[in-house]
Amino acid sequence: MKPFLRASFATAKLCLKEKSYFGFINQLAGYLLQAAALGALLMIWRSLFMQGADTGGMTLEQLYAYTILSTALAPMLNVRTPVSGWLHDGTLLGLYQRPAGIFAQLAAHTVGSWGMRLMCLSVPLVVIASALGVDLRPASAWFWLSLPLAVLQGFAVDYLFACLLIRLRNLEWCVHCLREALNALFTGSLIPFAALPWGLGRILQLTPLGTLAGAPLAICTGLEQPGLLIAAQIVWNIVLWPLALRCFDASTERMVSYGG
Amino acid sequence: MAAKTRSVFRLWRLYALMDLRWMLQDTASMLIVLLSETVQNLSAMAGVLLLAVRFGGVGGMTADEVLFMLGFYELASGLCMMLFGGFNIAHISRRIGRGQVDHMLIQPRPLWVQLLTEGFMPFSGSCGFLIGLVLTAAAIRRLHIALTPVWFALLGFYLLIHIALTLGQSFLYGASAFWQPVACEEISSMILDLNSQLGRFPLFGLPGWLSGLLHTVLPVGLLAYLPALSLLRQLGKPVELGLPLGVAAVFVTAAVVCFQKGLKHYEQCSCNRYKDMGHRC
Amino acid sequence: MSNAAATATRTWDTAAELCHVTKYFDQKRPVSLFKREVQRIHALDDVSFTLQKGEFAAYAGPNGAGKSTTFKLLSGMLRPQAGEVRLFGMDPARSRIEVMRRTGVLFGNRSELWWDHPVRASFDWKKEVWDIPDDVYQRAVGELRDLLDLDDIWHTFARELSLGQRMRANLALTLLHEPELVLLDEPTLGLDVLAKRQMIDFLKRINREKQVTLLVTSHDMDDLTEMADRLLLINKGRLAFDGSYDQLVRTTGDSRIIRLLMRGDAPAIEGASFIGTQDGRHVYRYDAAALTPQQLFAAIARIHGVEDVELGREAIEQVIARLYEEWRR
Repeated sequence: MKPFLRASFATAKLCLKEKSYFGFINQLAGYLLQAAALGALLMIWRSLFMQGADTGGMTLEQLYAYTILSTALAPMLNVRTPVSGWLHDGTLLGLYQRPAGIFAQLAAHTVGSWGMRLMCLSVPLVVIASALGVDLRPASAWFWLSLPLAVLQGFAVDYLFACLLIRLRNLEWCVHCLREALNALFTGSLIPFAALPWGLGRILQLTPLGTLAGAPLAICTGLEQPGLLIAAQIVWNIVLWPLALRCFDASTERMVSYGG
Repeated sequence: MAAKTRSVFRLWRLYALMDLRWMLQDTASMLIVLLSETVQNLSAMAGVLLLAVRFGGVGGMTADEVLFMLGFYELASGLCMMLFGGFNIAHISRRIGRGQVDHMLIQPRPLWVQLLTEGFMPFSGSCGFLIGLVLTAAAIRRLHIALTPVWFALLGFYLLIHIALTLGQSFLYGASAFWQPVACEEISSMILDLNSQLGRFPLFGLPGWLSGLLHTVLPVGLLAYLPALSLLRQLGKPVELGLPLGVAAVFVTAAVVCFQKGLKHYEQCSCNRYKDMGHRC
Repeated sequence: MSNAAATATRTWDTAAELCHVTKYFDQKRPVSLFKREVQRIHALDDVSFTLQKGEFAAYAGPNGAGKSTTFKLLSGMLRPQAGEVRLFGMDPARSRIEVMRRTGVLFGNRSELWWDHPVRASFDWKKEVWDIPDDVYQRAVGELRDLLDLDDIWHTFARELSLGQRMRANLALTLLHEPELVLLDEPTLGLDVLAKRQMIDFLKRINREKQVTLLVTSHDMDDLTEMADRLLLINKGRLAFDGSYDQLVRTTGDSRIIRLLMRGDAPAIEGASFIGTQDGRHVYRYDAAALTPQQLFAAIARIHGVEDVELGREAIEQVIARLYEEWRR
């Protein structure tokens, strides 16, 4: 294995193990809460359909699949690297002392931290949902391209937020609020864009945040045609990555001189 | 007791002043704080409201009624955050899990006084409350709700229930951080996020068992849905008063017992970690 | 009379007391993905000592010896499994509020300052929370600003202070309510030479002039030697030494150091052991109780090419380092 891959694998493995040290039982409460939230949301969709609302061709099964996948794939559709947290206490400094790229290390940390949740929540969710008859198989093979594109774009967005955070370093909470707000409405992770009024969804699904969760989920559940969404994802990756790299580079001095 | 009450008011005044000074540290910060809080609060409720507009109502409620329910949620959660949102009092598991209880134990004040006063942020934390006021007022206007003294008493009652349930759940689950500081550091945030996500949905039409669950064990239905129904009808049925009161009492009692047990455990084992994140910043 | 007040008068000249205190923690360690092993860590094992009012004592020991646990027990944050902890005759865990009015606690790696406020705001805050009367507050603030040189940073945001400034402000905040007992865990952590000197001078001064009882931990033995008259050494949860520095030196064998300036390899000196060569000087250690000055000088006189000789006591830092090493073995 190449040293770069070996180093990244070692970091990811350590992050995965770190989560496992907390003990499954101790994390169970958190997973149960998330599962409960999912269950309640599914029931709300069900009640919406039962009242006979015009859903514009969207089936209940599609909505179920959309919501379940949104929870199961949440860490990938809303990428959160540890960089924002590390700015505060100077941990970020440590990354600069290792013989590896900053982004590669952050990616390894992030992917490693997904492991436990995927194993303890996502896999059981998918298995249970499939057993209950919800078809979670992708409606289009393009989903397998859309998902990695969303993850890649998610990293760029996270780095941009980190740069914003370091600019407004005394207003960490505000950046957090802003991000949560944008995430709640504009990424399509909670409510499918197809369910929004006034054609709002048509616009939002092509925005840089809308393509994060909205695109892979809509492609997977067959709510939208993949062509336009994947094209938008590619465009946003091309635009956001150079921007993120430039901003990160420009913010490095502030990042390493803050905290610690 | 009178002295303690006086000291609570003095501390509230102190924290209000500190909050104001923090807000006014510079104009840009103030504007960013207001903007981000406003955006967050509006977007959190926008999803449900948009669904209601799109489908001509949702969960047995018209769009205006949904607006009223969302307004009430913002009002109640805004009030809760205004009173207890500062320095992770509402997110108590963070304080416990990060080993910051030590900072409280060296203060010559009863813990309950500290918990009651330290999170007070009437200026920087008032956004949600103000947005709630505006939305509720708008909904009242559109729905032509008659505002009687009884209605206001009912509103006050449900606001208190909302706060009691929010803090009760946060402290009950958050107390687990006394035993598992790392794994449970974020459990209060998780429960508050869950409340925020589900508490804004109208729960009409759910299967009985699920509706029961969401009004008792995971009482998101008592945060805004049931209060809104009750307030829209002017006066709730006995169950609409008794159920929230009973469930809130159970959660608060359980939270007090577990928190005290946790403190006893803390006196034996302390916390094996310390993070200054969020402590007075 | 309240319970607290009744017991408070019992031992009026004692500030703090640990009586056969045992404190252990059960630590879970992962041995595999699903298996945990419980290991019992004895932080304190039957430790007893008393601090009289007005005493200045140093509390030292290797990492993990139980110093911070002792401080947490004294502050009422922890309860012992066995034994008794008393501050001013009270149980600090039971009478926490009363004890904390009379005690100041500062952990070197923790700050009591309000991060996003000017330094002054933290003092105003403490005045309210500790219920400090106006006259005491004005007097204390005046003195502390002057003595700890806080005037320049009084209106600066806490987040913008340097480490030294932050430590000074933290110390001032700790002392604001004029505590009778001050527990300082690593107060000189990260301070530069000048800041450290100011801190030490200040602590000695309040001890001398106000009879404040101080218990200080530090890994810098020279600092502790300079500050405190009494040294408590703890190792693996047990009190390994309690006495003055002179007593410690005598207990460990009155070690002395000889430095020889000369060219060439280090020659052997009868009765002394060669430690190493520093800055061109060969350094030896000998036990003054076993080797008389006459014997020593006679041995040195027999060596050819000695250009200079320096004699001195072994630094306390080295004495302690040797002790730690012996304990580890």
